[in-house]
Amino acid sequence: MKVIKNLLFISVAFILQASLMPVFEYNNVVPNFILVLVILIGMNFNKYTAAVNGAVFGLLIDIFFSPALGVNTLVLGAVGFICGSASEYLVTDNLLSLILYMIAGTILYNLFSSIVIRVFIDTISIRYIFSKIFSMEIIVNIAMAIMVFLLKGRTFIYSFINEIEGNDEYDEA
Amino acid sequence: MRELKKYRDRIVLTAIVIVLLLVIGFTSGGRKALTTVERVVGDIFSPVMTGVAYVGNGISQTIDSVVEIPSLKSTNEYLESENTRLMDENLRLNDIVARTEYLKNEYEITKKRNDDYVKADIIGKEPGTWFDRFIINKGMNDGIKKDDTVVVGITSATDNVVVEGLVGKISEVGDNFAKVTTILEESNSVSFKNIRTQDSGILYGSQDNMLEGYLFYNQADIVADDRLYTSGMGDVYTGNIYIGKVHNVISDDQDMKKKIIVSPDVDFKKIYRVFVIKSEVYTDESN
Repeated sequence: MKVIKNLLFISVAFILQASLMPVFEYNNVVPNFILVLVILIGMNFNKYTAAVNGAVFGLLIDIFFSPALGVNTLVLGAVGFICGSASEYLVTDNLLSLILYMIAGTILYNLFSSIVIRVFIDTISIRYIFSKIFSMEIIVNIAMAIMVFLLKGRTFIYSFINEIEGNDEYDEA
Repeated sequence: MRELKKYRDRIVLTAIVIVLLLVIGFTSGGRKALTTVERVVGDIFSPVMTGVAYVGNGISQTIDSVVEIPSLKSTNEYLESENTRLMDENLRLNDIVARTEYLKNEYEITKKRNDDYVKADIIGKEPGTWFDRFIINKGMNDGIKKDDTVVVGITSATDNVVVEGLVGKISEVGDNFAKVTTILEESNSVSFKNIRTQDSGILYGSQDNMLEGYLFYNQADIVADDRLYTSGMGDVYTGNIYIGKVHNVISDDQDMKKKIIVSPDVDFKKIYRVFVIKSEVYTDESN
């Protein structure tokens, strides 16, 4: 039942990302709701929960959009794992830490993606890689995360995941 | 054994990473078809995504309409007068077509090709910025195949005529959905011809929604604002589809190449519906 609930949560988030988020495109960048979710899960749950959630999100993106299977599974899983590991040592319950996590998470996501793409898929130039890593996406994702923070979306997301995972790691500050 | 237990998590994690890297390596060269699992997942998700995308497109179009309200009145007046003019012109052209054998044949071919279009809605776009891909709500069940050309109707800025604007090609097909790779993606190359001189070359995706490319013949005559169409070479894209206008020409003496920057006329940010040309059917019938 927990697995089904978790898959349902991931499926709904994926559908919202793929079919609704393009409406909010700004400056050629679509808010990456899935990446924001994976970072938020990493900030507040253990690294394995974040990695598994990230990997399943990534698998769905790979099935529908990637030229090769496994790219986003690996990259989003890794981002979730690193954010989860960092949250064992760093503060996660204020707005500033949220912004810093979003900056680091988005940079890591694009850095890992560029490495995988360059090694396995396409010979992209270093200039192109830098333009993608330090892009408008960071700002757009921060804006989305702040919106989630202000709208108390965290409470919903965390209590939902808590229920699925069966732990009480999150306490809203 | 105790050591093995201590490092169990790390071993499992490393094994998963290695497996994923192998999967990426095996599938990165392009695949002929989707796996059964992918097709089943796609079949489950695509109807829901069609509904959500319908709502999303509605919101987007409403926002666009609100933004465009000030210019609507003048646009309406222009369209009314344009409609009257076009009706007259249509009558005149029908007369010419009926009388000229050559034009009549061409018209028939165009009409036949129109029958081979599949109209499809865009139901999902890639979340990241690395690939320019989207999915449509039509697939194998509608006769769509891998490598079919995807176009959209656009009004050419140069001569105000509606033409087929090249969007991309079908990269993978499920039962009720298909993945489209746009021409903006770097790995996606298109062979083109300059409509003015018939010189040809290759274009591929670049940054900032532009296309970069070069001509096969480095002394070829090409200037800014020249219009480029698909050449049909390589059997990937159907021929004679409008790509865009030359934005800039750069002569590279070192490489002995004439490099060009092309701006596609398709507004990739504002496409909600596309047409897929069922190329195989067309080729078979025309042969």
